[in-house]
Amino acid sequence: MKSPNRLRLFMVAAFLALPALLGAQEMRTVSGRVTDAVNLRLLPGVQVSVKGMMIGTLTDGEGTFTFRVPSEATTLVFTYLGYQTVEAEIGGDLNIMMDQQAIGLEGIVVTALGVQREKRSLGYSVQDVSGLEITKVPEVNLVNALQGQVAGVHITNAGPTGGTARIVIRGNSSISGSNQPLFIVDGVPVSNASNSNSGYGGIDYGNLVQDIDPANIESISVLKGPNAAALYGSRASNGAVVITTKSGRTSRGFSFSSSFTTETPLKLPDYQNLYGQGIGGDFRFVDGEGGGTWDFVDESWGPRLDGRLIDQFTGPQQPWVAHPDNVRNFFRSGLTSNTNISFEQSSNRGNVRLSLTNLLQEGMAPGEQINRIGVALKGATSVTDRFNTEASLNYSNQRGENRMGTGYDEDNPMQSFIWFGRQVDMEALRDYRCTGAASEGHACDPNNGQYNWNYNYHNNPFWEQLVNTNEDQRDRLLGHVAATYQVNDWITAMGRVGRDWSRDHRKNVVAFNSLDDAGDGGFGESNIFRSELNTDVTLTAARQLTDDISLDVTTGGNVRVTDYEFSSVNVSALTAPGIYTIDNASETPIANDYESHKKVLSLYGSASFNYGGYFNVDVTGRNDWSSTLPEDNRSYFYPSVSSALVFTDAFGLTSDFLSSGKLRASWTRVGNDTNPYDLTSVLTSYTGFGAAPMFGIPNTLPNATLKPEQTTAYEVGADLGFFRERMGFVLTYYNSETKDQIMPVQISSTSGYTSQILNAGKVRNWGLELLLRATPFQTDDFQWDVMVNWSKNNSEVVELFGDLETLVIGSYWSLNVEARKGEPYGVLFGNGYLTDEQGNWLLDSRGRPQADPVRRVLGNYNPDWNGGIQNRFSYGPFELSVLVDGQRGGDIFSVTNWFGEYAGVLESTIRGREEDFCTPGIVVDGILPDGSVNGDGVNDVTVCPESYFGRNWGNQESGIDDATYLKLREMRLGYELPASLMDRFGFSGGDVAVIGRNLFLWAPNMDNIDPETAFDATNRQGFEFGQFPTARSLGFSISIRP
Amino acid sequence: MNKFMIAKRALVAGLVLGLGACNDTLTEANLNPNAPTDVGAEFLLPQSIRSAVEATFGGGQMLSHTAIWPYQAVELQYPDEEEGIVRNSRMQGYWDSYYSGPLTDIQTVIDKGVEAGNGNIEGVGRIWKSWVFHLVTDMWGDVPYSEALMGAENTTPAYDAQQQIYQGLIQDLTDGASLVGSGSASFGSGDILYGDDMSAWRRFANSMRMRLAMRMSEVDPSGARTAFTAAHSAGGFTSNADNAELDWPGSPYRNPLFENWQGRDDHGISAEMVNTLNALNDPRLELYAEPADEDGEYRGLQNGDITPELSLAWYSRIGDYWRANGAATPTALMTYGEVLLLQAEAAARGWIAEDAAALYEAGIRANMERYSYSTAPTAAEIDAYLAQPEVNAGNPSIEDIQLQQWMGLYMNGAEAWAHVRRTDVPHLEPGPDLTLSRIPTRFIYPPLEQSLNLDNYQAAVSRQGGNELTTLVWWDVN
Repeated sequence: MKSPNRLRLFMVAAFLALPALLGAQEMRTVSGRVTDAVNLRLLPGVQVSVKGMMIGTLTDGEGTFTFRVPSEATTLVFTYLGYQTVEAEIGGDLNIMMDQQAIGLEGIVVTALGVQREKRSLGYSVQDVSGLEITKVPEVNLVNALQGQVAGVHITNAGPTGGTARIVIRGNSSISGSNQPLFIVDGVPVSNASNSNSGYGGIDYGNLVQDIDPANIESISVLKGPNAAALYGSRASNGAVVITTKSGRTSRGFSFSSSFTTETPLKLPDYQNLYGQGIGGDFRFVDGEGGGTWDFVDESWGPRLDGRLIDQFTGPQQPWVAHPDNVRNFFRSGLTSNTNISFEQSSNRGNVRLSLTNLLQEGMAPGEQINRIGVALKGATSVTDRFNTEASLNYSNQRGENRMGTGYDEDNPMQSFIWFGRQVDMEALRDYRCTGAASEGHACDPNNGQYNWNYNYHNNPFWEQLVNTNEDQRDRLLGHVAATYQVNDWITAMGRVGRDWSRDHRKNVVAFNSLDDAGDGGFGESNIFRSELNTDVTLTAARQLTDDISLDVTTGGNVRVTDYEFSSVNVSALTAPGIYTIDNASETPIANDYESHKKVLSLYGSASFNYGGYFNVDVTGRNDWSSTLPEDNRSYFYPSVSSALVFTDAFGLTSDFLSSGKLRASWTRVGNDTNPYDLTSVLTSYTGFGAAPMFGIPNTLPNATLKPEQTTAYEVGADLGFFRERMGFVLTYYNSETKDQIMPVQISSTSGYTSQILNAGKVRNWGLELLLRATPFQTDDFQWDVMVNWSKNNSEVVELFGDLETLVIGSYWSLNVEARKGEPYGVLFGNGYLTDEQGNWLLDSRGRPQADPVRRVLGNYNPDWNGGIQNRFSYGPFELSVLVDGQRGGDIFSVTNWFGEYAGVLESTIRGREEDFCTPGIVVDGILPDGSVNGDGVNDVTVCPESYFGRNWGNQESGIDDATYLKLREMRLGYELPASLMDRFGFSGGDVAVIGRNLFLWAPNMDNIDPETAFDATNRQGFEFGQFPTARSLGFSISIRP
Repeated sequence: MNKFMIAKRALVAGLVLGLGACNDTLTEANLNPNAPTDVGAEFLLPQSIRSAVEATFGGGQMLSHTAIWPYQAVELQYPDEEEGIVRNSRMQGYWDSYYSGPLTDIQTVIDKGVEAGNGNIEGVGRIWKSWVFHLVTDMWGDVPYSEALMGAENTTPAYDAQQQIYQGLIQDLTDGASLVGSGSASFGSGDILYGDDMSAWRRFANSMRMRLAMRMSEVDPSGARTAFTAAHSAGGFTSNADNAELDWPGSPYRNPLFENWQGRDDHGISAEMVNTLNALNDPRLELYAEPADEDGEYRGLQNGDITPELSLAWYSRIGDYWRANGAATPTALMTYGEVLLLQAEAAARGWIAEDAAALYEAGIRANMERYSYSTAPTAAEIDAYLAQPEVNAGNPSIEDIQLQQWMGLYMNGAEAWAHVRRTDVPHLEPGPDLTLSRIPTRFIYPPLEQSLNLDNYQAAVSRQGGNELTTLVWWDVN
């Protein structure tokens, strides 16, 4: 069943066959009610299922249930989020009491290979997030939905609407490879790829996990260490996010949820409004490209905005006044509408669920729009008592339009607001077509011309968004089919094929009369194909050997095939305006293509030994054969061992104070392979030079003798429950070391190459994670719950290669992010201020600070710690939840601040020109070249602010600030609709809520930008330029449960 | 043997066989289908030539650095380099754009030539490598040379003293000149500079030897003389047809100055150049510069003065021959006129027994005649120019010759900068906003060398006496 076509046929067949399977057996009716054991509230929406059968229902709005079960059914299982699972014998009218679980050991989590395990038996750290939890305040990017929810997880948001979010668990261990966890959906790995954008421009199309609709998620288990993930193979050495999607759970299944939010910028730079465009206090507009007085410049060192009359782009002798909200006025209110409906059905012979989602986002930037539709179908049937089948199919189609560009590029209007005239009236730019009288000297074509405040460096920002457009579309199919066969009462065989398949098409156009292409337009178009096919076969034996001892053994094999294909064409000049086709190119189009393929074969096994229900030992092993390694080194084995002891049970220590306690420890080693084609190099091909075809030597030296990299990790921890589980702690200490990393090591280009693929480097990460859950206050109708998660990761680059002192991970504006021996991973390395030994600035003769030509460590992008606090208050039908998260420390090189000061647009550049262009000027504290002290009131040298802030070249330290922040990430005030009302329409429950995300930001040391920022999801973090403003979203939601 | 044992053995056998077959499948899956692993030298040479020329004669390196410091062009906005402030990232970019591009490619060409015993391939390779390396050492001074380009064998090459590098360059040019023409022509259309004409390469090599020999005139006059006379007798360019000029075939390969003009237009012509041309009624002025928009006059901007008195419309831009109409304008690496003026200077110094005045006049003519463009000097203009007594056509001083050389090297920033550093002709006064003690005399080493090749970097810095923009390279004595 390799092709999606067959998969689809199978699904349709399964769906059609379902009704025939219903009611085939002799049935009886069971009924009852479910209440909270403490406050005796009736619980609606509790899942009631028959143990060992695929049949179940949900309690209604009154907490009662009635359904028909086969006569041989004996036991019902009651599960409800946040409550301990209860089993009960069928008989009479059941009255079920359920206990809330704060954090206790009871409950089921999904672990590697999709195996459901009791929490109490796990020797490593797994944290659950329920689907309900992440959809309460809907977030369209699944990664962002985890923000602040899981200890040890660090999420950074890169982009504009629909942009990328980066997730890292327990720090960066790989110097150059991905540090993001593996995502698994229903047992099948799925891609979370994203573009690696440059800080110098690019469009952020988002990370691929966005395609997974949170509304379809039943639960998420975050397996944090490599410990937890040994059985998923190498890619899970950074942890795994294991997602289980919803199945049909009830016989009467219709549910609906919808949310509407509006988005406004949370934070924009603080701009100055005292001085307009120009240089040296002068400005006069003639043609916006040098014909007037400084009218080609895009800086704000011009005349004071005092209402004087000056020739401007809007016309001669216009009042020279500030437009304080000009940047804010460029943006509009965004709108996000997200609607999901689903149908589900279950019987004793199978279940099925169909879900439809429509997401529409109108971004804050003009014209920005993203539309995603999703169809998810999942079903299971018991063909015989021993033979079960299951299949799922998720199709999504995403279309984006006019995504705002990122980084230091004309496609990013935020760039032109840094290089800007503060007097510019944004309203005047809204009509971006040139009418002929706009500027003398600037050719104006009334049909296709552009009207702007500057014709030298920038396009009109509305033109950039609405004329130089981009569009993209992705079709994605995720699916799997699986079959299990119960060989006997203790052996089960399983086979599963899963595929992740996607095609992207992207196109961006540059119109005639745009600045950046000689005025004759162009376009770029690309196609990306991604596919991963996983085939797994496993055999599981589970046996209770004695009354006290049980043993579960699983063995299996996996074949993984990954394919990637890329093709693009770029045209840099057109014949006729507005026609973006290859035929209309007036210059030779440049075409590129690339493909890569990879295969990995694996055999794996695990054994789980349990004694007395309170002591557990797990052993796993896996051997991979990877196509990317040389034949002699291609096979590698990696083991793990973990153990858990529920000491409160083992030694009878349970008390009213300590209600449960578990100690756990684990050790693991994970091998890893590399990218395709690292062993030998091929030449770089270039477009021919006239009649001469051209090839060049690539910049990277290959390595034919690579061996697998190796991560070794251990963790120890305790899970403790107190006061009858009203309070619980999970505490984990971990340590991991990754060595023999396969990476392109930057080498001096004087060797002829800029990098070399090597096995090199050892990075150690160690840290603490703490999770606290408590219910500090509880009465009959009021309850206060708190969840705190906190983590601190430390890292050290222990060794690199030979005598190598540092590896450059990335570099923008001459500031490097480096892995530097003896330092934590991710230091910012560059030129600081030139100082004497006491730290005083050494000034030049004009009294300005200078750059130290000897480069040094100026910061580190990783936070000292991060965490989140969620408080939830419920009073009767009302519930208020508030999530605050943030980080302490970490540094950002903000080029918005750096160039914003150079260009004189930021509020901070008022310094020294409070009275007039150069009055009072700036006296910089420091030492002058003659050795005298500046700033002591004696013979001080005063510098004009334009000259002072122009010193930012060559010195990145002035742009680096501490990224500490707290965010009011989520807030929700919900009202549970009256059960009686919902019941009348046949629903178990529903709620309406007012919801908000990113409502407030506190960043004490970071002016002008949101310190939670990135260009992309690569390891090249810690940079910011022209950040798309973070969206503050506010709206409401409604949800109806079946 | 029971059934279980049979099954077990079958399973093991199956696995072993399966894995054996799998090994082949896995190896096959890792064969890169995207490009060849090896090609002939004729496909590498054009890339080496194209990339080195684009790096050297583009808007970034030339118009913002090497053409403004010899006061040919001037920065109008972002005049940081006029103030003597350079960006580290650009230094890194220029450095890498020579070493890990054209130099690696041409080293591979040389290796292929040696391997095949093909003198043309080896010879052209060594000549071109010397051209690229002379730029690198003239810009930075001491640089990795003898240990460079060895790939994994040496990733931290030592820096050679410039004096040794010059010996190596002259040796390579000498050997290259004798190697070419010893076998059949070898590059076909891949020789985008000389169309596979081996004797043209030989004349280029000998001309380059004269340039390098003259470069040593102040630091090692006798060595310079010896090297120059040898090159001169070997024979350099004999007409403008011999010029090392790269013709651009059209998109995506157009004159990099045109590409720069398309993106942004930040540069003008230096007042020093306009005034010098004006003083001698030079017919090249209307080719070199465009009249100011405001009043149609030719008016240059003072280098190193970042706040000029007039608005930009009052100043001249670089001529349209290199800007709006420059897409196919050939890039001149070295011309007949330069070689004649080098010989004139050598004759005036008494190194060679030739008529300095005749060479001087021929050099000026060659420089003026080499353009085919509407605003290029006409024959009558050239005659009228030479007839002016101020030109000293009959009896030029060394300074006259050197001044003509500077004028002729317009839009060849790297060579003009080296020329001014060597001769101090014309004598250039630092502008009021220059923050350095003098106009820059070299590039600073790129930042990554401090991270990746620290010991050798430090040795070079201490030998050279600093890593400043104003540190002097070996041949630049003051």
